[in-house]
Amino acid sequence: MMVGQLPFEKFSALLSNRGLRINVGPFNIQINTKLATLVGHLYDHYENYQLVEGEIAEFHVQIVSARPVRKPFSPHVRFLIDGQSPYFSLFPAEQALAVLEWGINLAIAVRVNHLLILHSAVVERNGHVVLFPAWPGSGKTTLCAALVHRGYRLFSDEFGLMEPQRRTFFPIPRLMPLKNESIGVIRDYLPEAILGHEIPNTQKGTVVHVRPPKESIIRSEETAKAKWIVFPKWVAGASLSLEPLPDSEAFLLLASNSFNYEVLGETGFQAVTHLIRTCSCYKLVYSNFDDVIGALNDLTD
Amino acid sequence: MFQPDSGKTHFLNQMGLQVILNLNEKPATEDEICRVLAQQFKRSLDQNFSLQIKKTLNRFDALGLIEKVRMDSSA
Repeated sequence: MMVGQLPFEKFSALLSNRGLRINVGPFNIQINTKLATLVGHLYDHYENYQLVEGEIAEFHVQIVSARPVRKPFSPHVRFLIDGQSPYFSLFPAEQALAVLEWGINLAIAVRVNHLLILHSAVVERNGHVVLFPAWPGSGKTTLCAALVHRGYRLFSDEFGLMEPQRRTFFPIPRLMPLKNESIGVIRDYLPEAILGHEIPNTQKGTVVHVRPPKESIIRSEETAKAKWIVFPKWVAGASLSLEPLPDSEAFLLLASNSFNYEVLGETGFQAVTHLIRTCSCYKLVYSNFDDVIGALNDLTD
Repeated sequence: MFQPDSGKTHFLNQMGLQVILNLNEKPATEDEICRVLAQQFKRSLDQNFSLQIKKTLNRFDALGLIEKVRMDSSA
């Protein structure tokens, strides 16, 4: 059963009592909150996720109301995982959705060590995935949002989750947080994309979440192997450049983009070595979506 | 190159890698290593070259990639 098939009252009751359990790729996540506005946003954004019953949840997260000492009348929230707060700060209540999404990201990045976790957008085309490893600010979420509305299947705008023995990637299609200028860019380029409300004044500026395409969520159990690794960089006004990257440089960039490469030890080394040996690696500079999507279509045809 | 003892990955240039490959085949003295590398990379075996190679060997020793041992003169 999908979240959207639940009546709103039942959905709200689940969130505020025993918790809403949804499946997101390889994980089940249990969410609790009594915050009415967040309940409404989640009902809109999570409608295509599968409800989970009778299975364990890997992550138990909560958004709870809190009152800062210095601003006791200003509604704030706190993110909890397993009842503990990994953040010292409280956040304004209107940022609850962004805090929840970032909190889940943090939990995945810190707690998952049976998979190699790359800081990378991942999309699939013609049965294989393209990795876009990049640090924040390089435009990987924006590029990912554009690609998944032009025929690519969303795995993630944030995490490359690789099973090190089978060498396959798990989809984990979640909301894609656009920031600042990229919000207008995507609104103009993808009028069909479903965007959420604007969340101003976050630590990363204004944030708007893009809903993953329904098909990507429905097919989130279909894993795939990687065939291309593209290190992207958006540069205003730049003409398109997609240049092959030497293996040694690609290895260094990929390993340093991983959240848990050192934790995994030799397993991580073997996994990254396999990726570099089996994938074609490129450095991408772009400014225009039509150009970059054309080049990536040629690459993945 | 992955080093299981430390769990660290080391990025080596071609000459650094060749040092490891040569020593993996058989132990050698510093002077022997310098001579072989000078031949392999078509470099003149001057004092500067030898100094650089010896610095690299010390660094590799400190990282645990190679092990420096004293030659036993009675052997």
